[in-house]
Formats: sequence, C-alpha cells, structure tokens
Amino acid sequence: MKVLFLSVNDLKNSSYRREGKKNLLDTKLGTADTLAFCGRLESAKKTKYGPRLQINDNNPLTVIVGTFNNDVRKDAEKIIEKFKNEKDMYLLLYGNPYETDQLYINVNQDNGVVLVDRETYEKFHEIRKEAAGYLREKLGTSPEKLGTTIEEEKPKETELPSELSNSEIMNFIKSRDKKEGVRMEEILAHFKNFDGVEEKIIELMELGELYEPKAGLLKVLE
Amino acid sequence: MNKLKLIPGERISTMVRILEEPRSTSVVGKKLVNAKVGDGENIANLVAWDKETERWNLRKNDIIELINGECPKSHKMGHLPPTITIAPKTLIKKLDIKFPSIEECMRKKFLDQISEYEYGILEGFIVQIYRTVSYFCDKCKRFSDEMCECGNFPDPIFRISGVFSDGTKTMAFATISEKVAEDLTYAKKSDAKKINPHELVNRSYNLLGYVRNEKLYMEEVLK
Repeated sequence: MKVLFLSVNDLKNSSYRREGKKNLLDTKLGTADTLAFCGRLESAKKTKYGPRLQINDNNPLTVIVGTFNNDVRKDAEKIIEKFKNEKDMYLLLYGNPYETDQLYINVNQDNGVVLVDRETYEKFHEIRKEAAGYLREKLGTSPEKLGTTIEEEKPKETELPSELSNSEIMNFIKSRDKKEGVRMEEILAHFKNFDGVEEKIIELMELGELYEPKAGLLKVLE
Repeated sequence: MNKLKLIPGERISTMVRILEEPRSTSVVGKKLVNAKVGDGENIANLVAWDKETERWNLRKNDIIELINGECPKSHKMGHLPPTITIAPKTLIKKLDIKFPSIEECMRKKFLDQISEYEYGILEGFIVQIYRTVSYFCDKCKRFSDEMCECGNFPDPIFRISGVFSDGTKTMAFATISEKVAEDLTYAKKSDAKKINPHELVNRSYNLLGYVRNEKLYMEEVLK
C-alpha cells in the first residue's frame, strides 16, 4: 500500500494507470494506490451502489463507499444517519482510484471513512502540505515547474449547483453510450455537483425513459 | 568526525549530545545505563553494561566524543533499535563546542528520510489496524495465532500493528512494548481486544520510531 495525502485540487493533472492488479494514480507528488482526503461533509446519501458522500476541502469530491466492503459501507451509513441531525462534520477518507471515462475514487477498505474533528482536519492539511513540499522538492516538481501557483491552494467559493434537468441526464447517457449502456457510477460522478441525481434517474426509469439492460448499466429507451 | 550512522557489527567514532537524563536499570541480573544521543542528523541509544556503567558520568545535554563505540553484531538480525554500546576499548571525552541543541537533534523528520536502522521523530496517521493483540509462542519463538500451530496457547501481548503514513511514505508498523500500546490507545491491556480501530485512525500521532526491514517500530508516543 502506498498512500498519498492529497487535496482534491491535487487530482488535477493526475493520470490513472493500471499496473498488474493495482489501480494507480500518478500525481505531481508521486504514484499511489491509496489516496487520503480530508474535508467537510457536504452531502450524504444512500444509493444502491453504496453511500455517496461528498466532502469539500475548498474543492468538492464525491465518493461511493463500500460497493465491495460491507464494513466500510455500514460505517458510511452511520455517518449518513448522523448527518441528518449534525451538519458540521469532517471526514477522513482513504480511497482507491479507478478510471473508465473519468476518474473515480472508491472507498472499499476497512476504516476507509473516518469521522474526525476540526482539529484533526486542520492537522491533516498541515501534514499534507509539509509532505507535499518535501515530495515536490524530492521529485523536482516544484509548483513553478508545473506551471501552477500557490494561489491554487487558496480557498475559493464553492459554486452552488443549479437545477439539473431530465434531458441533461438523458443527453449525457446518449453521448456516452457506446453499446452496452453507461455505468451508474459514471453518471453520478459526472453530475456530482447536483443533488438528487439518483432520484431523477429512478424517476426517468419509472417514466420509461431509461432502462437497465444489465445491473448497474443504464440506457435511454429509444 | 563521522556522522551518527550505525552499521550492526561495526565500530563507530563520532560526536553526539546526550538528549535525556540517563536511565539505570537491571536486565537479567546485569546493570544497564542508557540514554538517547543525537548529532542533529540521527538518534541512537548509548548503552553501558555492568563494569562499563562505572565509567558513565554523563548527563543530559552533555556533548561527547565517542571513540570506538560498538554497534552490536547481534543487531544484524531482528528488530532491535539503533544502538551504540560502550565497550572496554571505547573512549568517551566530554567536549565544550558548538553543537546541535537537543531541540535540533529531536526535530521532526519525514518517514521517507529514515533509512534502515535509523530513528526518527514522525508525525502522521495510522491508516490501517491489523491487530491490537498479538501472541508470541515461547516454544516456537515466533508470533502466532491465539493458538500456536504447536498447540500452545501463548499469553496475549498488548501490541498494536497496522499501517502508518505521513504522506511521504507508507509503512507497516508495530508498537515495541505494552507501555507504547497503552500510550497510543489510551487503553489498558485488559481492554486491548475491545479497542475500536476507529478510535485509532481518527487522529494524528507524534512518535519516536525506528525502521528495521521496511517496518516502523514505534518506541515512544510524544505529546
């Protein structure tokens, strides 16, 4: 296991590759099979693939938890319940990269979702920044060389998602569907900044606009 | 003068500062005095046994020149910490020179900067927990399950093992004593089996540890 402590912003310019049975992500801080993120919990919902959690550390990141691991799925379900009554929550996540048309972070390891306090959230980012400085120097990937600037690390306003229409979902599925359909995960990740995507998909299926040719794959009924 | 770089089985001549008040104990009937020493780059245990303890007139903060200290040959194998033994041929001379302070010697390092048989002060997170209790079979001289293959039921040892990372490197770890396990978990040995791993992975740690065979041995939990 090789863990990198990242900010969501570090995922920019990263590239996914598969080596043997390992799913790896090459980043400016090196290569890892496990990615640690820490952020404020923004939304938490159940989906049939596992709880969907969105954290924000100045940039949003959505993960699906426990598709293949019941223990971590239960942990995330407890967090969803807690989130109903308590909104100021911070999560530490250990996820694995996976890419089809775009990059996903899946959480499938025991203790991969951990509730932490604000102090730990701040400490995580302090340790992350120190490690990043060391790794950049070691790898010769200073921010200047990469054409990025320190300003990128500054907090920025989180854009409020606007309403998502049914036709946008259908157009997306049509555009990505090569024959067998489009994976639910891919749709959710594409519309990660919108709330209620899964409910809209179910609504479209009930309306007969979408169907599942195979479990987990969606197609537009034409 | 050589840096504090130890190789088991070889002698070392170097300059170090005593980083703590020496501790005096008795191990299997032999008197032992030891203290951590450092040179700003590395840390080691300075140890005197039996007769050699009589020559120990060192205190915290002293700077010494050490000639022909011995790094135990027995440390070539196993997971023992970086150690310099004061042997009959070892010369110790106190110095009054400009030298890295205790704070400088105890400064934090990244896990990626710590090589085999070296100490480091680290800050990071426990990423995974493998066990909170281990079993060491005295008959077979190895770690075992609750029941060893030989049929023996070894006594449980309060020992935390898992994976640790500071973001620069990821390494399997284990605590070296039940005291360290208690300090790490805030739990007593009697509750070792009941520890919820969530309680261990939800905070960062400041530690003194050393590396042996690509494994981090946690020796002290620092505040």
